[in-house]
Amino acid sequence: MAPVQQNAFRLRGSRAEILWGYRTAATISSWSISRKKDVWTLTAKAEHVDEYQARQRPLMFTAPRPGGFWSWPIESLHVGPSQLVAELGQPEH
Amino acid sequence: MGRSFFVQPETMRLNLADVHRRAIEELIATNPKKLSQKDLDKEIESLDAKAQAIEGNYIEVKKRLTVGEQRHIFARMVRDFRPGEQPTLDPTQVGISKVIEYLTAWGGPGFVDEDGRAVKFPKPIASTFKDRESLLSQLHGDVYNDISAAIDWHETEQAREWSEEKNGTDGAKSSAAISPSVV
Repeated sequence: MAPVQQNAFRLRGSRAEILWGYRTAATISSWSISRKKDVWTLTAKAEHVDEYQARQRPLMFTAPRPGGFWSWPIESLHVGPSQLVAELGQPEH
Repeated sequence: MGRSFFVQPETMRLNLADVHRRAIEELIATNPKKLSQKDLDKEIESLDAKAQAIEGNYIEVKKRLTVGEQRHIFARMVRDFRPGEQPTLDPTQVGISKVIEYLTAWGGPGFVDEDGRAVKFPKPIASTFKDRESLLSQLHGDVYNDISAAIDWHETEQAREWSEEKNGTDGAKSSAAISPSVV
């Protein structure tokens, strides 16, 4: 939890998902999240994006961590040809 | 604007004690075994004890399955399928594949290990189908049967509700959705 308290930092991981409710809108093979001036940005490489579900709201980014999950609401999502970029809300625990 | 044909990812919470309360209601209404009043009272008492024993425990389930999810259930249950013939079913998958497809979470005083720590029903991202099947397989048989019965009832209710919606005869909903659920 300690990194979340810092002003600027970057988290990285491999497996993650973007969820629409309990459904998987995108599966992610690698990701990083950075925070600058309270703006959290996700940059990720997607294995699969379900275009219909990725257009729905609310979406949630979630990634396993020891003892639980990282979880951020997605405020905006851009799916590009090689990567996916999302602006995130505040992390949920 | 017409109703969307796409299934929303909503979940609903089902109280497991309601399985036995519904059984009591049905018993009183129909008395299918034509029990004497004394035997009927005894049966009601037994069902009521079961309801009290499981009180406070619940499951959360998908409100409705998509056609893709229904096909997953079928695919897991069928061991062999040739055109024009009855499919051969895998007896170990009958019932449980539907439970796993519907179930998204559980909770309550009974879903704990021997040390009293909560045992969560794992999310798909953190588990395989086999992991979830393995965890369910470790439940007491009666509890699994209650979960399965709750899901069967829920499925019947949702089918009835959907039919009424399609025919434009739906009134008040039987119960409210509690989601979209997230992690």
